Amino acid sequence: MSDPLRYVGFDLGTTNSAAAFFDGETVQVVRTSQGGQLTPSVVRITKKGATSVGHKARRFLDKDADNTHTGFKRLMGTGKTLAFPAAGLERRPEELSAEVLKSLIADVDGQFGFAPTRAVITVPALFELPQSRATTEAATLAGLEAIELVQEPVASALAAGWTEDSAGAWLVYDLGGGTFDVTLLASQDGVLRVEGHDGDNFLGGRDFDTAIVDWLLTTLRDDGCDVRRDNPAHGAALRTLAAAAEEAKIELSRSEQTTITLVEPLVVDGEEHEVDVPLDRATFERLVLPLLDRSIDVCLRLLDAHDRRAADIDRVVLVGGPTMIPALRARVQERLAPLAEHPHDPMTLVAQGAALFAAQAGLDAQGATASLPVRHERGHKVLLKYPSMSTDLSPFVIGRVVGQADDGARLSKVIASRHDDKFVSEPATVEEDGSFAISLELLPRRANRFSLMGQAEGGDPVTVEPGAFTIVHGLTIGDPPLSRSVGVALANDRVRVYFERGTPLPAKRTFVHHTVDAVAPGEDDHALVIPLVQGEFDDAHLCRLVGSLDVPARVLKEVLPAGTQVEVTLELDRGGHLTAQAYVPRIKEVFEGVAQLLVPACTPDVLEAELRTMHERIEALRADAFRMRMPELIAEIDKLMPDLDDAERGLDAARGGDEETAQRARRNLIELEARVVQLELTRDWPEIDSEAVDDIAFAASWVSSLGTETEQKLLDQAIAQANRAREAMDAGQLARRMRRVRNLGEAAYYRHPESWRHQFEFAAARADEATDPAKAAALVQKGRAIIDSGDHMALRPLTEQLWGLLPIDAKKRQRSHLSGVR
Amino acid sequence: MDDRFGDNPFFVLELEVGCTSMDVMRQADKLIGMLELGVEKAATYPTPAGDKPRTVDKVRAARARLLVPEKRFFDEIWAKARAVDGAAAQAAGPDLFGALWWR
Repeated sequence: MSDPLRYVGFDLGTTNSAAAFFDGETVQVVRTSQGGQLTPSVVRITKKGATSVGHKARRFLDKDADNTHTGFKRLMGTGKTLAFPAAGLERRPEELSAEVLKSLIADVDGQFGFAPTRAVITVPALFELPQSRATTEAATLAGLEAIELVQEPVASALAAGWTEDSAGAWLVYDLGGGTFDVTLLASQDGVLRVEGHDGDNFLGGRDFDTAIVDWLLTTLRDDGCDVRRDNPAHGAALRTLAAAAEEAKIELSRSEQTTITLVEPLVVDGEEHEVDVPLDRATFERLVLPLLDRSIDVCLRLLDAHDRRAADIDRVVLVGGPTMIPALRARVQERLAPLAEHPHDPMTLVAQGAALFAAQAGLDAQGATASLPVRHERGHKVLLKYPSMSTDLSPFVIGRVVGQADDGARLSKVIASRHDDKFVSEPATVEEDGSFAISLELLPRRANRFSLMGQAEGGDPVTVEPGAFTIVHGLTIGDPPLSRSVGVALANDRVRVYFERGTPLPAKRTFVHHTVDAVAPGEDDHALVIPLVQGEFDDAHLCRLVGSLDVPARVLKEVLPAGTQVEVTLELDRGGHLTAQAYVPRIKEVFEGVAQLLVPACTPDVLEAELRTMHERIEALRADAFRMRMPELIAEIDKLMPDLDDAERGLDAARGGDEETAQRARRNLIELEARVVQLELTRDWPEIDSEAVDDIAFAASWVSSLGTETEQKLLDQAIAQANRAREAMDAGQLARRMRRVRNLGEAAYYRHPESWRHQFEFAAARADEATDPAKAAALVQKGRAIIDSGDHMALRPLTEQLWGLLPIDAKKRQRSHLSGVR
Repeated sequence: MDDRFGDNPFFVLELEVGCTSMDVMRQADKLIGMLELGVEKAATYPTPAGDKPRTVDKVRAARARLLVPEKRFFDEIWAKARAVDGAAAQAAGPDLFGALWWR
């Protein structure tokens, strides 16, 4: 018998962290040294340099705030450090997360008697690439040798699916302290698949506390205690009330009524006020109902984006502390779908799912690898491949003989038998190349252990090593999907998408780009910049810059002329780690390992400039909306204002050195800009719609005359989807749908023998603007000769070269993260 | 460049259009195992335009596509079309679908 199965998962949370253990049949949440299940994600370093983590550190959050940090998960990948002045130390967020992981590892060791070296760690669904990389670094610092990352909603769904019938569509509703995330999943034949994410970065449990505080302020004002949010001198009083509001919120999840009481009188403008205010559940529910509905509206928006309705959802899995509020649970059931049947602990579900995912990934906590041959003195040595966790009740084990037994007898057949003796496979023939495949039968929801036995050519039994293996049956998830599209920002402010959102990981793709300008040898470290971006927008500046592949001038031995070909390869592993490589065929040089993945810095100056621009755009939009008499657009613009105010507060925080809040403001500003873009599209709707109609007519005309039957079918479907977006007046959706319509139309158009002559003439008319006029003139001359010869299709490569020489608008290039390629 | 016709997931996995999700998972796991062990007969797959090399990445990508109903729909159209206009689709396929990756 080999070692028992041991899989470990960690939920490295912003506020709390947890660990879980899976033995192939049962998932257990790991107890902390304090006897609980949650470890506060808090780290303190004392004057003597002693580090404490969890509950012990949390006690000092108020008393020794300078040397006690929490919430550092939000700073992962930013390159920022956090100061511990008493010890004179600085620590990066990755190092602090590593301390939390070490504490969780010690808890696993304490309960199960071994320290895991391999594990799964969860990350938020919308984590950016640098943040994922930082999480991996934290794991390495904590001593873990191998890890896999899995998205939190996937982990939650896996854990929920482990204990109940999983077929159908699911929503994972995850309400944290400061953010709300919702994920749509579909499960078929026991395989779970992520269909989409949505969320609201401005909505969380803290907003519930704020609603109580606002109510409380009004109540106290009636009693002569006037605490004002806009008075900086009232900050301490507000923090005290917020802490009391949070306690009241938690209390009202269990009881019908509570009293908000402060241990010490509240000091406001030098006067002391006793606070002793009763709050019943009905009042609380009235206060938070708009927030609940806001979260459910996000869910409905996600469903709508995937052509689904609430009635299509079979169950909702709740995650996060605030989901214990009874009114929330009732509202979710009323407006969305039934809750998952089994009671799940919303605080530890993510960690449980991580442990289950470790089983699927075959990530044994101490590195036992069943697929490697076991060294043995006797028996035939084989390599085995099988899913460590399978949805399929009849999976295969594939094997290959890599070493003969000491007695020299040839292995002829291999048989697998399940350890309950109720299944014995058909003897599988060992092929000439030493391979064999055995069909197995699993018991559902169990760790199924099998023994392997071989037969020599005469039928005599012979030993096979390894002689046993285990497959766990249960819900699995397809290859982890990429949460945000990844691509290269082009100099014209567009994006060349390498991996669409949802691409199964790992993934690798290569595209050919061309340099915009000539690149000369010299000292410049960033002679050619290839920005790597993440996001769902066509415009590069709206996507997040997550790294940059730079070609330094000092390594160049000759000038790369404008239009030089650069082959860029991006590769993502299962954990979402990105590597990039650029090959320049002209000089036969490869540039790699230079992707600098950091969440961009967030200085007050940058934030302030972005905010100013945002104000200007919103005001311009409002003026247009008034002028064009679009009241619905005005209402939508008004909805932006609270978030703009929030960003203003972020700017103040940035000026005060609060990097965490500033980073949140930066992310929110980018999302705010995306919303502004959507509203600008609404404003421009008549023009957009008219353009779409023209493009549909273009595509329909060309595909009907030069397209294949299959293309016609594809076009019909694409047009139907585009028309649905037109009916809904959804500009964003229409833009996405029209991409396919245009591509199909263009594919047919370019089959026309005259198409490339027309394109050539358009490009030739601008040849005098080219970055290399001499080269452009030569191409035009060559093109004319081709036209005279009548071989118009031969114009294609030439026209493409000519396009490559036309200039890029400098402003666009600036916005496109200074990209040097097209 | 991607060959969206020759890399049709039904070809890569050697499955019929009517197969179930479970068939997809089982076949993909089996092929990945064989490829990882270097089993020669798993190294290529037949298409109307001749044998093509099969890799673990291709198998995984094929599995992922066939588990998404909307994507599977398109692949079914192409796989069904192979008997009718296999040669024409092969000629049009790379260009057409290369263009579809643009945005």
